[in-house]
Amino acid sequence: MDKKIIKISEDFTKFPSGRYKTDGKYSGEFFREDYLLPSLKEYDQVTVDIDGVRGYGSSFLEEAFGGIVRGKHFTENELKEKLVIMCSKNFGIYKVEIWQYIQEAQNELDR
Amino acid sequence: MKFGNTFKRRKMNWIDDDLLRKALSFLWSDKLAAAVIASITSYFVSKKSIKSNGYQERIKSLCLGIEAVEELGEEYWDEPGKIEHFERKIVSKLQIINDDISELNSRLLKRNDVDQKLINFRQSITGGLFASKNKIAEPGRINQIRESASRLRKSIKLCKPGKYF
Repeated sequence: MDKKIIKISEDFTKFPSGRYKTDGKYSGEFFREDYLLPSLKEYDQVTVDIDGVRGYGSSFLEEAFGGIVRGKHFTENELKEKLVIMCSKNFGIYKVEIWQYIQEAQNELDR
Repeated sequence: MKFGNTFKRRKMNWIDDDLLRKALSFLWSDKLAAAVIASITSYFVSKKSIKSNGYQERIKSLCLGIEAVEELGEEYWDEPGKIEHFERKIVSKLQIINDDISELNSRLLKRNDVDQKLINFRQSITGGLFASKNKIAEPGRINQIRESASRLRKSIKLCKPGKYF
């Protein structure tokens, strides 16, 4: 099983911000398109380590993770198999939020 | 001489026994028992009161922090366009609230749904077009921010400190 780990604070930025690519190179869409999706397509399992950043806006998280399902790249069930969100206790809330966005995006598609 | 020494030793033993008897009777006296109970009670009462004051202070400061972010969020969504210094402030202040809540959470009983209320509060402020160039003023969000902030504060106040607080 091929695995990949993405540590946002080291591989991407410590200051993620914004939703769309037009908002800057540290936006949710940028992260999804240039980091997350290529890894999800190439590897069997992708672990995203979300610790170490200065904080996340919901718009960034929703676009980065909910956008995977909304863009029909992967379904919620496929992500449950492939995607692992790694974090410390203090960042646990973001993990819950990420999976909520994935679920909401799937619910929207299923309607 | 020999007789004198033996007499003295006997007398000393008698005095020791008497003292010991008196001390024992004092130890078992009602007054001492009451004093012991009172000091144990006061120790636990003061310990509990210190613990409770510390907890209340932390909850109070957490609620003030939420209020500060709530105000920032209201100002932010009242204006159109991207306001970078506001965005940085909001995200970092929310992170502090998040840290405080997760630190408190591990020591709380009856946590209710503080985490979900925090997510709702975060979403009301940093959702949508937050930190986006296309951001427009959304006065409708202001009510959402107020409501979610008030629910979060209420939920935090309903929690109880645990044994290890």
